[in-house]
Amino acid sequence: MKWLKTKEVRKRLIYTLFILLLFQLGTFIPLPYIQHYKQTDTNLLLNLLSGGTLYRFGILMLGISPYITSSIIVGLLQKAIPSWKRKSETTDGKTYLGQVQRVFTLFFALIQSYGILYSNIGKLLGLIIPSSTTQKIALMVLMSVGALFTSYLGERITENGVGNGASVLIGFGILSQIPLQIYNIIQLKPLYESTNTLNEYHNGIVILIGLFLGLFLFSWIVNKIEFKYPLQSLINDYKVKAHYFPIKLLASSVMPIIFATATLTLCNVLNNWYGFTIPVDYKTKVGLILYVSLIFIFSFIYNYTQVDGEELQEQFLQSGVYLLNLPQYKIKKFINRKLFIITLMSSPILVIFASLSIIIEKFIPEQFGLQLIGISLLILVGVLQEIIFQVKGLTDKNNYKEIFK
Amino acid sequence: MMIYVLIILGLWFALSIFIQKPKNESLGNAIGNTYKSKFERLLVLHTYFVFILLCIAIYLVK
Repeated sequence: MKWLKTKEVRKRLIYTLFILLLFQLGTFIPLPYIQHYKQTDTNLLLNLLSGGTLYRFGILMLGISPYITSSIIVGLLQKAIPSWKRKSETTDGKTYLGQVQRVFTLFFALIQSYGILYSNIGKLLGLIIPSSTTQKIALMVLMSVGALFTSYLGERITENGVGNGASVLIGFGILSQIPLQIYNIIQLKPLYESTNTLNEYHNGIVILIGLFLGLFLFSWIVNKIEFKYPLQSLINDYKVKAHYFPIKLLASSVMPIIFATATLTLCNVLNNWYGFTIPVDYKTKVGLILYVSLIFIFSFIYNYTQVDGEELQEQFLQSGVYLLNLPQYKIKKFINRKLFIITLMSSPILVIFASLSIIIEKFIPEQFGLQLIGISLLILVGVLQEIIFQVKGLTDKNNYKEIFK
Repeated sequence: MMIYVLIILGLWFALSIFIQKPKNESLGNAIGNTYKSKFERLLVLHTYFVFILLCIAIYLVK
């Protein structure tokens, strides 16, 4: 329990909890002029991505999803626009790109809120929307600044708390819905009793607990797997055992799933808004193929953004380090090839988790409302491991200081 | 009347976030925790202050 004794870790954990509390309180501030007549299905992808806030119809109902969409766009544009790529390498440039990301967040929040107010998404969510244009404009402003505030809270967690703000908010949203889901399942018991299908109910619960534990363990293990490539130093000219260049199997963690989900959500808005017919329902065959392909594409994009072979080769050259039994000029090719194979291995794992919803339906009654358990658990485990990793790092960093005292 | 107050407060709130420069992780780790000017703290407090004003306005409209 060294980490508990470390002041910085304690401070950061308390700060994160404080921001999360603020976020949860914020979701209960209701939007004016708007009413809802039915409980929205919490099993919507958009709800998962917003941080579990959508169905509360509060000022923070859009949650963190516009921020995620904007981070995809800014990330991709960095690859496409050379001046942005140069900017991403300097501190000032990063600050500039951060502001650009906020502008995009506001833009996407406006699009989403417009979609909710002017299309049938609002009706799907069970909202009674006012007809007055001024009231709609006020609602759009409120929803958008709510989304901006959520992303601001996320930024504060990244800066002063533990973990990446956006994923912590999503992870906490998933965590906060678990009690509600347990309550819902308990509430279903009389229904099964009345129809004499109590056996089915009990079986469902047993399978559910097994599945939950199994998936949790599986995603924990999968998240831990990493490939290590031994490094050799030019200066010492012998292999240093402790030195490895590691590439995680899930280098991109759950980001491809989050990105694919965000893209589908955006497509859904386009469908409802412009009358497009993009097959966004992942329960249909075409929808599933689209979803799976998006996960594959984003896995490759994200992994290659995270690990840059050319940059690594340069860094290795400068620091006089090379991979064991490999000439330095071949590092780029080697890393890129390994990354390709690793991504090819990790993408199907992500796809399995994402498509569990379809398999689950056959074993667990649909009323249990757990279609998104695969993705949710993978995100949750990813976030938990990220937090644990950072807490460990901070504890070590702070305890090293004692050596120099 | 109240509706315009809401819109103006909303815009003010957005502005209060934008005038704070986002900090990147590496810089945050390097100097962000040890150095923080009073003005920066004031800007953070200002954001929460406008948020509370916004909440009060929403409560009044409701």
